[in-house]
Amino acid sequence: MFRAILYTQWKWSRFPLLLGVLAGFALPLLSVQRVSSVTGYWQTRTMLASVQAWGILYPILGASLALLVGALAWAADHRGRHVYALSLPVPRWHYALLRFGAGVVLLAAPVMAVWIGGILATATVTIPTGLHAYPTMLAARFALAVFVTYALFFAISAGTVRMAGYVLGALATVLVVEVITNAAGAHVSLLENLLLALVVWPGPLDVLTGRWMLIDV
Amino acid sequence: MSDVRRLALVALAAGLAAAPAVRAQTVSELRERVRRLEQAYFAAQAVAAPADSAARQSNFVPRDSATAGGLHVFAPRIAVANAREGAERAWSMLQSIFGTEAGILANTDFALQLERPSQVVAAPREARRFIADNSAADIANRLVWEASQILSARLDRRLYIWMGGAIVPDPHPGWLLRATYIDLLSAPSPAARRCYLGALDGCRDAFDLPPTAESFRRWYGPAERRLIVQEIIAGEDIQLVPELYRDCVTRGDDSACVRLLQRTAESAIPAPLGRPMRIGLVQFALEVGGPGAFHRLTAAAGRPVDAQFAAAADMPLDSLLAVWRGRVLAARPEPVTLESKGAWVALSWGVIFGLLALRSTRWR
Repeated sequence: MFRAILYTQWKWSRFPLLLGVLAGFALPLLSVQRVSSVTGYWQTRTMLASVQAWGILYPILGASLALLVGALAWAADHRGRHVYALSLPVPRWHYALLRFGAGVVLLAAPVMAVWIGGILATATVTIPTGLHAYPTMLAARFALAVFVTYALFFAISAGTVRMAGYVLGALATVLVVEVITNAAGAHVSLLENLLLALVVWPGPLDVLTGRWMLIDV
Repeated sequence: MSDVRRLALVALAAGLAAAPAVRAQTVSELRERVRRLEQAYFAAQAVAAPADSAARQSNFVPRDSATAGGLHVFAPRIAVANAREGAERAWSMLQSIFGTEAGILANTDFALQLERPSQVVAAPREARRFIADNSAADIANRLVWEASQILSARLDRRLYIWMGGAIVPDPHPGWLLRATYIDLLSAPSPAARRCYLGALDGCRDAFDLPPTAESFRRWYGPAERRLIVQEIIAGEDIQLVPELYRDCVTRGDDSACVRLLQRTAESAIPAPLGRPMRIGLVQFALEVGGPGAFHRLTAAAGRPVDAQFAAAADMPLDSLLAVWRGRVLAARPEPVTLESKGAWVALSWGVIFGLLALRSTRWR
């Protein structure tokens, strides 16, 4: 059954996945491309600046792929009002686990692309003294970022409309409370704190933040 | 009601009272009306002025003081506790850098003016006023900055110019060391690279010690000079001498590059180890030299800059640079990769979200 689900999910999400694989492979290569044209003592600074600038795209790529694959995993079920899933002789949790697992397997491809691209990119340039290449660690971090964001979007997509309403309602409540308290003269930063709770350790999206350096000190 | 609104209301009321029935007005009528409005405006202003003065007076609060070591701070009563704590923190930071010489701050009074609510404390006219939030941390930071300006003003003029700013104790010295490591490693300068690899003359050159005219010659070779002209200082100044620019950038003539750099303001040419690193080196010398270091540094005013360093650190400049270099290399920043703690947390969040998806009641 897993193979069948994997195949159907592959069919639904193959275009974004293929694009993701291409982008994941190209990113590390592009990040060192300008460096090879610079020589001498400028190379170190140029390399760090270039790698840092391109590094912003790794978490964006990972989160985008996770969002697309996570949403597409449930799109057909939502359209068919879950009739296909209900006709299967498996409990709900088993079915959701199969879908989740299929998405994780599919997302391994762009992770591998980032890893191979990183190894190739670092092999094609001369790394100045004092700098080191981290293709494996970068790919591992990319894998974790993809996994966490995929799990998050998968859970949101799998939820009921009522649950989505609860989440949106909670957000709206936070916003209203903040506006009212600020209007009353008390400086409360609920939204900012909420955002910080998400992106600062041990928040779930902490893995997306920080510098994504293929080559670093 | 604010003064502006009060003024506007009075002027409006006067205007309305003076307004005749709506009809076409002659020029003389209009002039008369303007005159009356002006009178009403001045009358309103006369009423508002004492009110403003009274309001300003109410912002003045009686002084109270917070003292820590040689720091004496006049503060509004509502901020005295924070001022005391801030002064204690500031004093400890100042002492760690300026040592015994920080004691001269006892001759200066500081007056805290609160940013929010805006309050001006009554304090002696000669007191140095500083603005801060009513928090111990902010008061400490602002106080350290003010006091550092006073103490740094005692330094030798040439040393001060070389540093490019005052010595301000940094609550996070590790950040500067890590930034120095990256600069030392990545500065496009053979001198900085030599320093990184362990040659102390490279460190002296990168810091321009002792300071020399045309320090860019010490920092950069012909290729770097050309790139500096091309990428950093190619601006209006160079437009004035296009032939030099062409010789330098297009033909690679180093003498043209040098002549262009000579025409450029020194501050526009990037130093491999810039202002924060230079100030950091002085702070390091003071730290190594112990509590009497700043006193020795000020006493050495007038001597060559490198000799002042040696006096402060109580060791030859090369020895100081060797210790400094070791400290910088030891502060190598952790490469931004993946910490095991972060990996486990991310994995846990992934599993939690996955479990939430399994528990969904979508088809029940």
